[in-house]
Amino acid sequence: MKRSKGMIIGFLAPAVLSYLIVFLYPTVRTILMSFFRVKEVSDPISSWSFNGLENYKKLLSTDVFQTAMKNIAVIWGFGLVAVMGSSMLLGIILTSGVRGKKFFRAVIYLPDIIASVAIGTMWVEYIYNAEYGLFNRILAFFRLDPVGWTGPDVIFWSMTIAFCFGCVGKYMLIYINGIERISPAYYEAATIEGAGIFRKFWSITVPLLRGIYHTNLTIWTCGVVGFFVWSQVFSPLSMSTGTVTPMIYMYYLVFGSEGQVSVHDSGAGAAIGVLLTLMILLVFACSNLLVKKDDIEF
Amino acid sequence: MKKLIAMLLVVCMLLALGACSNDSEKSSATSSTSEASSSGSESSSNEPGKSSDKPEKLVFWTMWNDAETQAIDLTKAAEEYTAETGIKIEITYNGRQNLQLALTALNAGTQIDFADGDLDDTLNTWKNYMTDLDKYAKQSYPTTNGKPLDEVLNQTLIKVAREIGGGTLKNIPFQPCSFVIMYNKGAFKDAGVTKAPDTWDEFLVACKKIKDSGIIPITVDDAYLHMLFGSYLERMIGVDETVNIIKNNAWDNEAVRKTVGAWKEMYDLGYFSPKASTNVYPAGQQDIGNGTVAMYFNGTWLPDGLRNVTAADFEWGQFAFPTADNAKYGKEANYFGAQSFAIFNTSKYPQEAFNYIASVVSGKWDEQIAKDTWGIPMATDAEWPACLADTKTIFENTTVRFPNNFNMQDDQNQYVKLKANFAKLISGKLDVDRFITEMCK
Repeated sequence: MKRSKGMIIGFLAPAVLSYLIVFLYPTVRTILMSFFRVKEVSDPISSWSFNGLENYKKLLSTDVFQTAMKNIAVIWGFGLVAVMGSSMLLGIILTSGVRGKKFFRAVIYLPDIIASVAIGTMWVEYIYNAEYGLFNRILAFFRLDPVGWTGPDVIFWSMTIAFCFGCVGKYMLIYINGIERISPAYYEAATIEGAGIFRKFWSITVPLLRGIYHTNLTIWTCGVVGFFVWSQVFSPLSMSTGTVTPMIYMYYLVFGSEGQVSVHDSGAGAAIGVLLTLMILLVFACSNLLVKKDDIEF
Repeated sequence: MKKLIAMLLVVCMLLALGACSNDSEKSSATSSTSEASSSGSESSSNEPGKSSDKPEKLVFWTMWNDAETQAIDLTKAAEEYTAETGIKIEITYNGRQNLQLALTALNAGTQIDFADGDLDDTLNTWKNYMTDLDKYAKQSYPTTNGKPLDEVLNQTLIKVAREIGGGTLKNIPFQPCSFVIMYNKGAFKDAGVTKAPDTWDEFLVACKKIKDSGIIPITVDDAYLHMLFGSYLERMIGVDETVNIIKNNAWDNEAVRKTVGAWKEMYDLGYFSPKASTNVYPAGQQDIGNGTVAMYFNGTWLPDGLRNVTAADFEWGQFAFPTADNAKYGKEANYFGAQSFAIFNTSKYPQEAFNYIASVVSGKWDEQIAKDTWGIPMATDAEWPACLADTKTIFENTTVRFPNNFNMQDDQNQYVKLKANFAKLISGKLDVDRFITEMCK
């Protein structure tokens, strides 16, 4: 069938225009804003004053921002090992023919369905509570001293563990999907050749899941970079050293908090947005380099 | 022919998109708003600030969510206003994002006649759009018994509003609040504390008696840790020196040492709740509500916030933050503030908008809102709720207004350090010297 350029343009135009207006324009505006001194996010462009790289320099020399970056770096690294490791392990177990697969899959995925605010509140109120929380009750049962799970020394790890716990189900499902795509013929052939379960895992499952690692790494990075709700649940009303993340600081700079509206600095807020986007792109690029999806065909 | 049809289709789709955009704008406004009455037509083409003819509607953006008691009362007041004047008030309930949402809308040219928000924050955020309200405030209204409105309202707040407005009233305060030590009168009585403490020494004596009676004297939540520290420090040295310490990271200071020492002593004497350093808001304030703790330093909104937790016979009391030895300020210096109404200079009907505001901050609705929210009324002759009766004296005796958060949130770098280190201090993990060292880092 002969393709009509007019037809193609005609049907594409509304979608392209919508994309340009609702996505590209705010993106370009935000990038531009990051190089200007802008107080309110809605200030007209005529009121912006050029600030060069000052917003970026100021951010990088700000203690709170450094702490926020360190926090998400640790969450990213710790979670990468803990969440990806445990979700892969669970994925392998649940695809190994274990009984009650559907039940366990549903139970493990359940925390991902429930709103983060509800899950976070449950952790704070019922698991970490100093008086009646589950963890301190377990410690009391073993006659151990209670721990201040939400105290300034421990709150970061308490929040990180709670966050990671809620993430396992989603990544487990992705791993299950990836594992189930691997043809059983490979395992059968390996079994005939005398390969044991670990050999099959290392030589078949691990290499053939490369595409899944890439996908999970990208999703994980986006999720950690956008870390916001859990910080709000663990430190409502104001920032804390243990829970502050770049998104929290960006929100503070752009929207302020009660009694703190005079600190608004949307230019610096935009710079945080740009930095976070660059981080995601960097991880994505590194992931593309390290994990080539198409070097193995199956 | 096909090309022509294709182009026509494109035009149709673009028109449809445009139409959707307009409709969605209207529908989003409608869906996010709850009109006191049905929508009215556009107002006439008068100059802003002139009220020569009667509008069909006024647009009010509020900081309350529609289910909040304040919003319910404001809506009822709007309905009554509509019944009396025929002017509909279209209310948009934005919640606490009202400041930013209204500013964004104003910048985009959206017609909003008036809005409400924190007394200080509104001036900081909306200052380019706020109408001078002095001439309206100096008129009498049906609820003011023939007196000018600004004479029947809380004079302390009107004075503050004029000061921060640069000498004129830019907003009309309502729902006043003050930061005071809220306490359980029953626990005080049971412990034999017959008089609320005035000085720090009396405060320590009261804490001892309360502790001896089996009740935890005081607790705090993570969100208010800095308030305990800031209140003591600012009373000691005042605003300017406090700001100087924060700005210059000059924590190795005698007043800071004394402040830290005072709170450390409170910990050493066992007057803090063992959970105080781990309380995530609002866990700590629940403890005063359920009777396990006797005191909590907070705003006058606390009784309303805990009304579902406190027992029916729970008796609230308040006293001003105790005065420390050699402090620069005493009980006369406190933080107090209010919500407030502002009329925008883009409104064509400021007088009509002010008429509604006057009906809410004085007379029947002022008392009703105070009664329903267990809040402080704005009119001088209005009755205060019993649970805040003690605050009335504190308010009347306050002559020095400390800034919100006692300047402790002026610099977020300092604030997060203070929050973490103060939590460690009141859990015994830091002593005075180490606290100072950590703060100076």
